[in-house]
Order: sequence, then structure tokens, then C-alpha cells
Amino acid sequence: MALLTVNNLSLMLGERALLKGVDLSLSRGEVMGLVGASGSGKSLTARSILGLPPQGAILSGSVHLRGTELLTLKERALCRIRGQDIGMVFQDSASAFDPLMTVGDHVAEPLRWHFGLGREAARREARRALKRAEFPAEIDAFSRYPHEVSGGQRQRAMIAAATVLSPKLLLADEPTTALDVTTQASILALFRKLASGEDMAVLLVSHDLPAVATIADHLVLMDEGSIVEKAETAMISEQNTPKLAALFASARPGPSRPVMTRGGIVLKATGVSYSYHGKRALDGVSLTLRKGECLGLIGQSGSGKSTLARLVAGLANPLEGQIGGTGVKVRVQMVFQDPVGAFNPRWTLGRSIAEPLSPRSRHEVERLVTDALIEVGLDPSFAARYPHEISGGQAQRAAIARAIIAKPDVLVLDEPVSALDVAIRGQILDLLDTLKNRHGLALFFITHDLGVARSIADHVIVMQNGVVVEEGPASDVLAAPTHPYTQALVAASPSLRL
Amino acid sequence: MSRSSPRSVGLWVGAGLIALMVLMAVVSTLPWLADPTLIHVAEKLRPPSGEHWLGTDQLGRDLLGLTLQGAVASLLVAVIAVMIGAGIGVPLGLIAAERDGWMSQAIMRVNDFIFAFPALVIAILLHDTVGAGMLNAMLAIGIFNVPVFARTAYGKAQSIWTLDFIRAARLAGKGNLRVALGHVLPLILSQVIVQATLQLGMAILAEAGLSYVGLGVTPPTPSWGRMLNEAQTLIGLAPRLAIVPGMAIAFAVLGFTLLGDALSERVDPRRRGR
Amino acid sequence: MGQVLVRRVSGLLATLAVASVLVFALIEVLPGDPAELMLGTDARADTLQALRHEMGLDRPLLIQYAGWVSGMLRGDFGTSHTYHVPVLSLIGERLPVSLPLAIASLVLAVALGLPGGVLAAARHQTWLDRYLRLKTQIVLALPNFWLGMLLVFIFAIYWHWLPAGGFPGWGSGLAAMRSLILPVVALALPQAAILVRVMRQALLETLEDTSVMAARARGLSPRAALLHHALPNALIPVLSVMGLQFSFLLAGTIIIENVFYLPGLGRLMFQAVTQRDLPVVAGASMVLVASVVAVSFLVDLATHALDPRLRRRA
Repeated sequence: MALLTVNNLSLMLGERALLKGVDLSLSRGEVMGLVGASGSGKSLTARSILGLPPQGAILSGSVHLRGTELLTLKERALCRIRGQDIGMVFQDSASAFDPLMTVGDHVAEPLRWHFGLGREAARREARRALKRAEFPAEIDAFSRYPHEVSGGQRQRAMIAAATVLSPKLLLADEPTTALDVTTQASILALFRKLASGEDMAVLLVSHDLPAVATIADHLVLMDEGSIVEKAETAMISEQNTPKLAALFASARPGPSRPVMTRGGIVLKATGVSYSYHGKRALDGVSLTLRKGECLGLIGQSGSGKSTLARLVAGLANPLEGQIGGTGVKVRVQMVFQDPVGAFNPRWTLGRSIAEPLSPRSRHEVERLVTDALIEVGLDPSFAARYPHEISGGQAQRAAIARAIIAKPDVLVLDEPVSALDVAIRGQILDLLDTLKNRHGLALFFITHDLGVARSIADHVIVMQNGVVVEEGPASDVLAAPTHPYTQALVAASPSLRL
Repeated sequence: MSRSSPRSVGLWVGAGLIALMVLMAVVSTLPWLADPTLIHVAEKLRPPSGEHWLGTDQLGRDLLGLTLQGAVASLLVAVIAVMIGAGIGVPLGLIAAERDGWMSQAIMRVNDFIFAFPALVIAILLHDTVGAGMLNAMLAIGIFNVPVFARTAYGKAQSIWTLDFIRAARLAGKGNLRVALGHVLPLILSQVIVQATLQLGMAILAEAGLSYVGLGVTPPTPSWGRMLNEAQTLIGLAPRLAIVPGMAIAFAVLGFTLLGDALSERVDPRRRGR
Repeated sequence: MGQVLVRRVSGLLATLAVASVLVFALIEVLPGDPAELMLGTDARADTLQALRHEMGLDRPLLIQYAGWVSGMLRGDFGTSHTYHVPVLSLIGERLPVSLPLAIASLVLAVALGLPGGVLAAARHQTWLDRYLRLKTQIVLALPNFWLGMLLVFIFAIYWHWLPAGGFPGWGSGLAAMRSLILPVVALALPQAAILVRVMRQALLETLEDTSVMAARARGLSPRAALLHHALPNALIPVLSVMGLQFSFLLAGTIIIENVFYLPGLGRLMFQAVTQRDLPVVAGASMVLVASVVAVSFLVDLATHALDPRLRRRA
């Protein structure tokens, strides 16, 4: 018999129906992946099961946890179930911790609260939970505050806090999104281990289908508050589950690009170093950007890749080394990760797109903006719209329009697709590839996602802690990495394996 | 949230009170009204009557006329003081927010330093140089307001300077000044206006305090704070002399704080429903 | 922690140094000749000269400033022109009135304001929240000296419960306490209103943190999550507001002492201002500024002690 049965669960917030009749069932020892784009209602589903929907939300339907109806339960009884029968792990582990309390005391808190254990007894038990969650034994969790441990360690501590009372059901809301790929893989493995070893039911909410698919028994796809497809992971195919299969396909990188004859050098950086608040962020980095070629920079968060992007764009100057064009002045434009934050919220898109243009007649500005919008595949009417009125993918197209309107030589792209839903990513990458070929642009493409790098980059450099550890043609480096760090990245990238 | 929520009530009540205060100031300057500052000792401490709607004070002056004219000094001092504060504070905050270095540190240090001086102490210190009077009150309250506005501007602008569209503007070839005026200032302007509304209320309060202790508006110019000072010894005898100007101050301040609060909720959607 | 302490203390000393220059410049230098002020404009030139020499006014400014500062460091704030006694002993006589007044007001304001703010946030958007909101808005609009006058009118003149003003000295025990009740209430109410609003706002903000939701997911009741997680985090910004408030409270003390005819620092200062007793004005100003700076220093230290993120980064 299923541990958790959700029947026809709906959620209204004001006038809007955010969940529309969700049905789920989950047994102990199982891992279920609940996937979908942002805003599809997958996180809301998890929060509703826990009885913590947003303020003012009205729930209907039923949520049964081993025969107990949770939706009609009184708050007091729900408090007993939370932590004891259901544990939850949140996405952003930094903000999910109370900054004034040590990491370990977070794990001990449920013991003290639910069982009234004393401080020492609670800590003893908490140590066991920390160990089970593979929190490093050499770190004393009871003297470290949340900001003093790494993101991966925080996430392990949070899993320990969620599982310290051995709940039957573990909910995890995007538990690995903020982590780099190597940590991500080991945290996912931990969830699988908890399900099998501790006989828990795990509901894993994520937007990253390939990652979740590595450990989930079942996959459930949500869109606009409804479940559109569900299947056992092994049974996914074009016939049974066309949408899930399509998602897999779009996440899978295209074939590696053939190495072409190389264009002329547009911009060169040699021996570039940079420090940030006394910390070495970049150390002796060199790179070459060529006409009509895309250089991919692969690195995890904190590797110094965004700093390098800003230096290449000329927004900051290197402490040592040189960055410069060959001969004539090189014009560099940039596209940023968060497409909405890249626009002044009070300006129309047209005004923002025209910003890089030198002063000229209004008529000519309008014509150029229209041309740029058409070139990136947007209707010219977008010029009159405001950033909050359009989708993330459209905003990223507009950002590209702004970057190309003044005919730059180099386009720096700082994680341009990582804030976008998987389905949109491919379209934006195609657009960038087209523009590169049409205008002979030199692209400098920064990403943490090896799959993305493989589908757009001609050459790649791999960076770790501010140092370039490997470089070469994309197909060679990603197919047969030589440096141990690159090998670890490739091994931990589900999208590359599929 | 519907239009008739408690918040929009605050907006309209606040705006109404401010309009009333401005109206009082305007009416008091009409030339055909009797000058309320003229002394008629024979008519002192008269109760309200047809001739003197609110009665007269200890010098026989018309209480209604004095209260109306008090609005002039109050508004004048408050508006100029807030203009001084915002005029100096906002540019300082903008500059400090853009630079991440000694300049920003220095500006904010000086700011904290000025903050250590309450407006009253500034008025006492300035008193020897400027002398008592409206100018002293304007300067003292104005100087006190500089760090208030600098902090508001700094706090809001700092987060804006790190946004990507600022980087895009720089890549578009714009210098710091054009970015500050074109992007940053318009985005913080609404917050500055909210702050200014609230500070106007606080400045009226401060002006009343300074005039009450004799550091602000001086006789014969009518001022609410001064009137309260003179009424103090008579409070057992003629409480209306203290109650009327006190109510005038309270309603004026309430008008600005209600309006400021209501505006701040409109400007900052996260605070809506708070 | 040690490094932070050194930095803060040097900051504190620098602030005081700059403040002393400012006070000296504004009070001792800019206005006319204090000797002439004391003797009147018709004084004989040689008497004037003798007095100026006695007061050290004929020495270079830098020497005068150095003398003033080194005097203060030795506890010599100069001599009052009107009372002809050391300024420090004048200030010393007045502090036992002003200090208890300010501290008692702060305590009352905190005792009313913090629970009020917590209550308003916990009962967010109920009638209680709206009632407190309106009430604090009204109290905030009242000038504290007018509030004091109204309190006198009601409790002293109308009901004869409490004295209208004056201070019988601490030797009189209960009578001294009774005479401070109304001034303390008049000072504390507006400050309490500010605290209610600040506390409420800070708590509402922290209540939205994911960490509070995470605590609820671990099974804590709404009340426990508020008290154990949201409240401690909200108190940190509130603490710095309380530090700033002390500065306003001191200024308020000066005015309120005038309402209630209390022989405190504020009365002393005003007499000195009207009589142009500049050493007293300068000395009292320095004491006021020093206490404001000292309080913000203490608040800084407290914040560092409470917030582990600040504690270890140094």
C-alpha cells in the first residue's frame, strides 16, 4: 500500500488556480522525481503536502499519509507530523538556515522540540544523523555557523535535520540546484541511499530532468499546475511519454561540432590576474578570441569565470597581464545570466536596446531597433513593452538585440541560458550560433553546464579556482578529458552521458 | 486589496491634513485680515467669542490668527530644511554607492558623524554663529537631515549599481554621471520622495521643539512651538492656549506621516499589506 | 574580535576628536569676543585686555584648542563665566537628574515598544495590528513637550496626583521618583511608538525568511518559530535603531527638562546659551556628543557579539 496518496489536490491563491487536481502516490523505498519548468506548481505541491502553502492559499482535494488525511488536520497535529513523519529539504541552503544558530543545533532542534530531549542527548543523536547524511566527521557542526561551512556541507546538514527523526516521507525542493555538478551528484546519491537503506519515500522536486532521472524510480512531469505525464523512469519513450522524452532530447547536447578552419584573432588576453577583497580570483589566465568562433569557458561557481567575463568586456581592469584587441579598437558587448535584471524596469525594451547606439535621428534609431528585434526573432512591437511584461526567453532575446545593435566584434555571454527553462535553451543557443556565423562574431561563452558548452563552443577552456586547467577543441576536451578536474566534471554531468 | 482599504484611507486623510495646513498658511497671508501679532493688553485672555473665535492670549492677540500664521513658519522651515537635507544628502549617497572604496567609506563615516548630533545640539552650536531665528532652525534641521537622505539614497542605490543593466549601460559607453542620472536616480526617486514626506513631518516636529526652547522662530513671528512655550505657565488658567497650537502641530505631522506611509506602500510592493 | 575592537575604539576616538574641533570652532572661535560679552561694550580697554589675557583669548587658536582639549582630558572643562565654578562640577551636579531620566525613558520605551511590535507582527493584519498601527502613528505626531504639558494638565493640575514640575533632590527619595514619572512617560511614549513600528517591520521581514519556513517544516509551531528563529534575527536591526534612539532621547531630555523645570543638563545648557556662558555650552555639548558616540559604540559591540556572521569575519 502506498505511503502517500494525493488525490485531486488543488490550490487557489486569490483568483488564480495554481494547482489543478494533482494525483500522486508514493511508497516507501521509492524515489519520485517531480519535474517541470519554473512556475509549473511542483514546489507548491511539496509545500501543500507539508501543510505549509503560501499565505492566503486555499487547498482542496486530499492528502493521505498512511491513512491520515492531512488537509483537514488541525495545525497542532500537523506540527507533530512535520519533522516526525515528513521531513523537508529546501533549495537555497544558505537562507534556509537560521544564521544565529550553529549548523548542528539545527539538526538537534527537532529532537528537543518533539521529544523534549536535553541539549547533550539531542546533540548525541544529531551527530548520528549528521554521520548518516555524510556530513564530514572532521568538522564540528556544533561550533560552526551556517556561513562557515560550504554549500554542499550545509545541504548535508539540512538533510540530517530533515531525517533526524527518521520520517517516512522526505520532500526535497530543488535540493541540488545551488550546488556545483560534482557535489550535486553525491547529494543525489545520498537521497537514493536514504530511500533504499532507511526505507523512506523520497519526493524530489527539480527542474533538472537528466539529474533527477539518475536516481528516481518514477518521473512525474508538471505544467501549469497539472500533471501532464508520469512514468517509471525505465519506461520513458517517444511513444509512452512524448513530453518527457522531448525534454530529455532538448537537454541532450547536439552532436559535437566539427573543428573548422580558424578565423583571425580579434581579442587576446595574456597572463591576466585579478584579486577581489585580497583573494586571488584569477591567476595568469590567457585566452584568444577569433572571428566567427565560439570560445567556451567552463567552470563551477567561484572558479573566477564571471570575473574573467567582466575583464574581457572591459568593465574592470586586470591587476596583471593584458587584454586587448589586435590593432583597431575592439567593440565588446555582453549578455547576462538573469535576463530580467539586465533591463532597467522603468525603460521600454526599445529604449534599452537603443542605449548602445551613438546619437542619431529618432527615425534611424527606430529602424535599427526594429531590425535588431527582427534579427533575434522578436516582433517589432516588443520595443514598446516593459521587461516585466515578457517571458525570460523573450527578455534574453531582447538582451541579445541590445548587444548586437551596435555591431560589436566580441560578444561576452555570462551563463546566458542557465536561468531559462530547458525547452527555451536550445532556441537561444541556435540564435547565438546563427548570429555568430552571419556577422563573424567572436563569442566568449561562459557556462557551468558541459552539455551547453558542447553544443555551442568550438573551443573550450576549463577553469578551476582562477586557473586554466585544460583547453582545446570542444569535442576533444569533453570526449576525452585529460585533467582530473575535467574528468570529474564530465563524469558528474548527466546531460553529457545520456 | 480594494481601493477603500485602510491604506488608501491613510493616503487621503494625510493629503487632506496637509492641504488644510497649506490652506491655513495661505489664508493667514490674506491682506484684509487683522494682523494677529498686534498686542492689545486690554483684551488679554478673552474666551472665544464672535470677534475672536478661539479667544485671545495673554497679550490680547487673536489665537486663531496666530495659529493660522504659525503654519507659515512651520511649513517654510520644514520645506527648506528637507530641501537642504535632500539636496546634499541624495548626491552624497549616490556617489558613495557607486564607489566601492575609500571615498564611499569617507562619505558614510562623515554621515555617521553628523548623525551623532541631534538637531537640537546642532541648533545650540549654530546659535552662537547664526543667532536664534528661522535660519538657525532651517540650518540645524537641514544639516540633521543630510545623513538621513544620504543613507536612503545609499542603501537603495547600492543594490542598483550592481545590477546587470548598469553594466550594459557602461558597455553602451555611458560614463558614471550619465548612468547615475539616467538609470540610478530615477529608480530611487520614489523612495526619496517618500522619505522627504516623512521627514517633512519630523521637521515640523523639530521646528516646534526648537522654537519652544527659543532656538527657532523668534517673536514677533508667530510659531506653534513658541506659542506653546508662552502658554505653558497659563495652562491651568487657559488650557486652550496650549491645546490649539499643539493640535495644529500634531495634525500637521500626522498628515505627512500618514501620507508618507501610504506612499511607501505604493512604491515598495513588498511592503504592501504590511 | 580583538581587531574589531581596536578598529571601533580608534573610530570612536577619531569621532570625538573631530567633534571637539567642531564644537571648538563653532563656540569658541566664530562669535564675537567673550571677554567683551562679559564686561559689556563700554568696558575699559585695559580691563578688557586683562580679562582676555586671563581667559587665554590672546593666545593662538591652536594653543587655545590644545589647552581646551588637554584640559578636558585631565577633567578640567574650564570655568563657567556666570557661576565662576568649574564646568565639570556643574555638569556633575546635573547628570544625576538627566541620566536617570534618559535611562528610565529608554527602559520604559523598550518595555512597551518591543512587546507591542512583536504582538503587532504576530497578529499581523488583525484588528490589534491595525489598532497599534493607528495608535503609534498618532503618538508619533505629538511633540513630546506638548505631551508633557498635557500630562501636567491632567495629572498635576486637574487631578493633583503628581507634581507639575521641579525636582526635590534624590535625598527626598520617593518624592524625587514621583517628580520624574511624568517626564519619563512624556519622553518614552513617542520612542515606544517608534520601537513598535520598527520591531513589527523587522519581524514581518524575518518571518518571510526561508529559515522560518524550514523551522516550521521541522515541526515547530508558528509561535515557536517566531520566538526561536524570527525574533532573534529581527532584534539585530532593532538594536541599532535603539542605539540611534538614545541620541534622540538625549535631545528630548533637554527639552523635557524645560517643561518640567528639572535641574538637569538641558536646563544648564539653555541657561548657558542665553547667558552666552560658552565654556558650559562647549562642555555640555561634548558630554552629549560623547554619550551618543559611546552608546553607538556599545550597540556595535553588542551586534558583533550577537551576530556570528560579524563575529568571525574579522
